[in-house]
Amino acid sequence: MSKLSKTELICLLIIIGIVVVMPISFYIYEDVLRVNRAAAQPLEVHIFAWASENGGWQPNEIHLKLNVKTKFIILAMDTAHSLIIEELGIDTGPIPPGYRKEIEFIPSKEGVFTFYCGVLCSADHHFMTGKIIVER
Amino acid sequence: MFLLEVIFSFTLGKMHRSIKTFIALIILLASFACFAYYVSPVSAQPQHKYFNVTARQFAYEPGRIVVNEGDIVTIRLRSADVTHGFYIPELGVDETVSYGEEKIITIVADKVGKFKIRCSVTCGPLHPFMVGEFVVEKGGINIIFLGSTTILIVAGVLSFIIFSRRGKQVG
Amino acid sequence: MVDGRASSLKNLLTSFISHRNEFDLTDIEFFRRIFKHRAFQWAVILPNLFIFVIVVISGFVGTPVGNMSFAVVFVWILWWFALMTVLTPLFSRLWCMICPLPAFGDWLQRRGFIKKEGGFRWFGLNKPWPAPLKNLWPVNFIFLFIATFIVLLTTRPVVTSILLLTLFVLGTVLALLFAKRAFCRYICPVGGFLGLYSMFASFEIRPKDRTLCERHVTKECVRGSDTSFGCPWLIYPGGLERNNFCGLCMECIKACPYNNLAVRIRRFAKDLLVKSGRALDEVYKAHIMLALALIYIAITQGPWGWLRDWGNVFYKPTYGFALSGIQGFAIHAAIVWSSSLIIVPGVFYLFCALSKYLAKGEGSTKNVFINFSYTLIPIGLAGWIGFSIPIILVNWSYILNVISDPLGWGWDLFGTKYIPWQPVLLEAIPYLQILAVIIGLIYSIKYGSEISKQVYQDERRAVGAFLPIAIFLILVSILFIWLFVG
Repeated sequence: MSKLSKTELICLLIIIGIVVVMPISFYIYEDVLRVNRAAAQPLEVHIFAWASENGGWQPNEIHLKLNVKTKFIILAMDTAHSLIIEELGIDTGPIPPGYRKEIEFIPSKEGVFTFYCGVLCSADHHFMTGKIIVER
Repeated sequence: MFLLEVIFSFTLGKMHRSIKTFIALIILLASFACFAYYVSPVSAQPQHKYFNVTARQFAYEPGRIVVNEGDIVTIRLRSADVTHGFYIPELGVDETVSYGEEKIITIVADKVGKFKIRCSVTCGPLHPFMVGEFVVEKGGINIIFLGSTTILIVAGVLSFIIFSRRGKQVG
Repeated sequence: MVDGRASSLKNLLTSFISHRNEFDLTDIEFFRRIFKHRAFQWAVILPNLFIFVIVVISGFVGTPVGNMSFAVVFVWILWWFALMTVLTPLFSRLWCMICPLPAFGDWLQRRGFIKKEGGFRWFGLNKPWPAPLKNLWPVNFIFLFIATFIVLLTTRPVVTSILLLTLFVLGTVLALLFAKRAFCRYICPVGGFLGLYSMFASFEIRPKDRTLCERHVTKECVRGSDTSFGCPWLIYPGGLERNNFCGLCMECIKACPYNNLAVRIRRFAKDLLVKSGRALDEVYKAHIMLALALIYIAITQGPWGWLRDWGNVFYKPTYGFALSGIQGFAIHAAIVWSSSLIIVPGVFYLFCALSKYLAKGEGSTKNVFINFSYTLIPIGLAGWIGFSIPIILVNWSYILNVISDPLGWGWDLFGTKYIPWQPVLLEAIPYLQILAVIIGLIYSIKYGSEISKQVYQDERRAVGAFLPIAIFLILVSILFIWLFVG
């Protein structure tokens, strides 16, 4: 076997780069991305729906970040409720008592929005409201 | 400037006379075909035609819809399995249909020819092969096919005559 | 100065159709230098090796969705279109020059990537290829076997990767057992049809002065020299008359001490008139390719769902014919094999028999069959080009998607991942296809009438005797046009 000249060595390194290093770099890149993606899991907010006489929405003031994926997990506690945020186009539909509904969305507008219940749940149904604040 | 010189000498210069005859004849035939197409009368009264089409993996049933120029075609589109597309850009059709849905599509067949219906939603492995045909004829004849076949046969016969005449062997 | 440029540009352009003019690239110093450079072949293979690695990986660990897979999109959309429509008709076996499949085999055999030293010994067993297999029959059958699975191959990335990896390993192993490019010549399925259609190409390597070659005994072009390994395609460059087995690797250019080899642009289909080398095995390839062109257009671009289902072995049809996946696939395989090996050659044989009858010729119909089958090359190539045109015009945007996310893991390297599917020029497709078929037919008939004069000694009879073949060619062309626009 002749000794490897410099040119041949460079060629060999380039070939190894293509055939070995590049595939490995794919996996490394994917791992890096995975870390970033985990950091971008949806922001989870648990909301308990009580009729206004029983305290109303818990919590009734929610702070969200603009363009960050958000997940509302709404649990209807005493009677059927629904959650509507008109400006963000959210309407969960009726949630029977004891049931949970998850809704994922990305708040795309800054500002202060009112959310309310859309199901006739109690005498003070119209007072069952809350506030969402979307900021940067 | 010298590009013009190139094109000139290319067309008038060393090309074999028979090749030039050919090209001239093909251009002649093609122009005749275009002229005939535009001058030929529109077929019978435009009709309303109705089709039920089911999109499934990976074809449309029926796969081929044949209508006449000017017809107003109403298609009732359903899906048998997953979401499919129904895309005929030449006629301005771009719909999708999901399982359990039904879409009514109205097409005015104002162009003549065979238009492929393509699926615009990835519906499975053979999605790129999911193709149907929407054929618009003129007076009951697919004139693009007829015209191109005629030109082809004439080109073939002419080639035969012209190239058989050459006495010497070439190449 | 301007005049010189104009006339050499004119020379270059007319070379594609002229009977008198051929444009030699080695007249240009740039080409002369790169062809003679030892790093040339390694350098041109490199980008392809890069793409090849990504293709194979993406089939195995990437997304199983065909049109989002680097493997399917780069091989069956980009490479297929480029090969059939640009590389082969214009530049002969240029793909073979840059193909990564034999690369490792070459480098192992040569004990290096670029260098060629004196006192060289081949690495590997370097055995001669077994004589009974020194023909294209293995290639024909391997190609047909792969072709039967074309629906799976082009839609499921893992199948593409398995095929390419198998060919790569086979190429490397065969290079360690046999001399030079035995894989490329006698096994590679791509090589089978590339060799055939390269006869139509407007590109060639030929000796400039054959008498010089005859007088020159040391034959470095075959045996190698201090700067070259000699032709790895097991041909004799000094006697090159056809493109079929020349892989444009440029070893002969490096070897020839007289620079007697030209790399030329020449008129299309010139090789169709070369009598030497005509044989049944390569002629069968022409029939196989013609049959498959018709079948593939029908299956992948036709409205016949049941035909498509038969090719898709995993499909359980609920519509159309109530056959199981395996039964339908058996019918599909039967169609593919019988039309390629029996029906198309059989029908053509009948037309040849008629031709021989009209010429009252001596000799065998088999001889007529072999010679006239070369007329199927232009029309066959035209059919494949017509098939490839919609593939690229409809699916080109997937190439951009897949560059940004080769493995389908959700990346977006260049920001093109979400470019929507965007077919272009759809209205032009039928006319481009018609044009391709007409041009193919004209070339087939033109060269067919010349071949007729080679087959039949009596020139006047040769004209009439060509008529049945011309009719066959016209009928085949009408069949293509019917599939495309009818």
